[in-house]
Amino acid sequence: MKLEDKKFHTPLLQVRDLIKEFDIRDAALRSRTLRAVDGVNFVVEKRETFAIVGESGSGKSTIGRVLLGLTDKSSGEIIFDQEPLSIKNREHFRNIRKRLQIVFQDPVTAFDPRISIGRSLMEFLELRDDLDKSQRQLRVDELINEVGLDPDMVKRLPSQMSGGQLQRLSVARALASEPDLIFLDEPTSALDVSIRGQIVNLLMERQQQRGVSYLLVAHDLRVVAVMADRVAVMYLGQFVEISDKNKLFNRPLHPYTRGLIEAAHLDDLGLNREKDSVRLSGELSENDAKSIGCRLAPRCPFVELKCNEPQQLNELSPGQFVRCWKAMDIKNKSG
Amino acid sequence: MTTMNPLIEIQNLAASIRNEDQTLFPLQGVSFSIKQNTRMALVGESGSGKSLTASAILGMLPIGSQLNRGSILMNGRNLASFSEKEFQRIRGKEISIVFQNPRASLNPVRTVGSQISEVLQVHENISRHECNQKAIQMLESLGIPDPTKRAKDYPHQYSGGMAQRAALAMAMACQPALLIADEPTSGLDATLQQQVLDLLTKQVKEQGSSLLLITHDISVVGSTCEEVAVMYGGRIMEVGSAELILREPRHPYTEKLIDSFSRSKDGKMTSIPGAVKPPTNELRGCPFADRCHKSDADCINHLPELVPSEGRMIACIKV
Repeated sequence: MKLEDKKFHTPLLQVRDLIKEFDIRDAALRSRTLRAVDGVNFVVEKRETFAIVGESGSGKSTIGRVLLGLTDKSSGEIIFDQEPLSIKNREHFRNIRKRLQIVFQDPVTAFDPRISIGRSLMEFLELRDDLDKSQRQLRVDELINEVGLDPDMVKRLPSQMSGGQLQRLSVARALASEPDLIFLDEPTSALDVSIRGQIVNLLMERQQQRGVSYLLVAHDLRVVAVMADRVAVMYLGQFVEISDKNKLFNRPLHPYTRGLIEAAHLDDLGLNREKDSVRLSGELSENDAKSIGCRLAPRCPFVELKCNEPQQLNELSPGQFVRCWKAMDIKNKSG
Repeated sequence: MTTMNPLIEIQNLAASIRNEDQTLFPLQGVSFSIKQNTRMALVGESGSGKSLTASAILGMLPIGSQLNRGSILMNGRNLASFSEKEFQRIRGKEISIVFQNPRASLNPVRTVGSQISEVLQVHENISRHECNQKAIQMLESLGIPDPTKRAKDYPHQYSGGMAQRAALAMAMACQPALLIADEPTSGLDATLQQQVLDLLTKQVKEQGSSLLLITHDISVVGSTCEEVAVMYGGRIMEVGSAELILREPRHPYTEKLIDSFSRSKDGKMTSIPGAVKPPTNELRGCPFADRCHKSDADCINHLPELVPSEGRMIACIKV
């Protein structure tokens, strides 16, 4: 099955059948294998924001970490700018790695507490061979300006900055090597509500200016609804729905997507709860990933016998994929 | 709604915290009341003083902090002047609390049942056997399957959602008049959040208790609470019916807060300029003045009092 949209011929990033397993030990020291990412396919186009949403434990952050080489994949293929990417080929990976950056969730732990923020930014500029020392110094000031801060701050230590200011600097640091793709790992969830919007708007501004692509992982659907172009919904290691943002929010198909969106109370702050139609019961359990059928079945209000059969990710309408036989069935019956 | 005596009435509460090198003033005259049999939300960002207000009600202020002014009235008693010994008598019995991380309030080396039973043994004049039986009943009423067997399990044998239920069973064991829930859903996934809030609502309704829900997330208020108090910089900004305030916020801070949680209309996210400042001085003007789009010199030099306006109480001279 091809997920690539035919309009675009060379996506910036292609991920094919990605699998990531971890060997873990439980409380009784028995070792077992946890499959955190179970056969994931997607593409990220140039200038696009592709978002992955899901509950904690769904495997969404692992995808980004594999992409950046912070952990190796178990199997599958990652193709970046038409070249296969593997951390086993160290020299090649180092060259590509400059073009991939990350913004972490917690800006406070993302900076070395003992070196000034100017120095932190400088380290990233040293990845660039095309600049000499004085040009780099100039770029530090430009970058700080670019994220709306005062270049006089370069001498400060991270402890002298607020969380919002540090997250702006994380963005500046990620932009320093002029990357093609930035992995945003929950970029706003450690920030106060009133600061979140500042960071989201900054990221979108920078994307327009520089044409960078984002791989966004977030559980805050408000952030996703503003930033994303396309969204994948992940449950227990698999995508259950991939769709254009507007389709996903206006007409979610998979029961899990529907439950997630309704629970977020995007439009009415929860004042009209009677209208909620999909309430998922229970909680995510690793055991459900062992089922050969639908992994949501134990929590789904619409469950039927047929849900115990394996579910494929099928294209329901152009660019809209769903892993639920019932959603396909409804579509086929209504023509 | 009939007029009811408030269960808890907080008046002009002020607290300070002394650090090594400075004194902070996180509460600067907090006033609101919690009605009987009512679910109320206390909403604010970090640094607003919402959690410290809850700590003051429970007599669990952090080390280095003290109450400087004000009162917390409950059934004719002033909790603000209670000793630790007096607090021990009401904590867990008349007022109890559940925290964000349920595992933090459960002892990992004792069975869940024995921990719920202990609360009853301390506060109720009944035999140990009756306490154990009641602990099992509590687990059952919170929807834990096979409660007799599960009471003998240790906390690590419970899943996250079950541990949350067990912590709630412990908090509700003595039918407290007030349950404080401090960020009970932060860190939980969206689909689990609503389950926890529904469970809290059901429990306090059944037992005729009041709920004080402490949260930074105003989007969980509408589905859970009847009243809401919005806090910023150690002061109450707006307080009243949750439905009214969520639908028609009047205070500029409440407006902005609700906007930041609503779906964007212009493709951008609402943000409030600047950041929350540490409360290093006693306030002379509105704490929100330096970030507010409506503020002027009067706001900076004039500390607004909470006054009735349009069916609620508001502290803003521009409304």
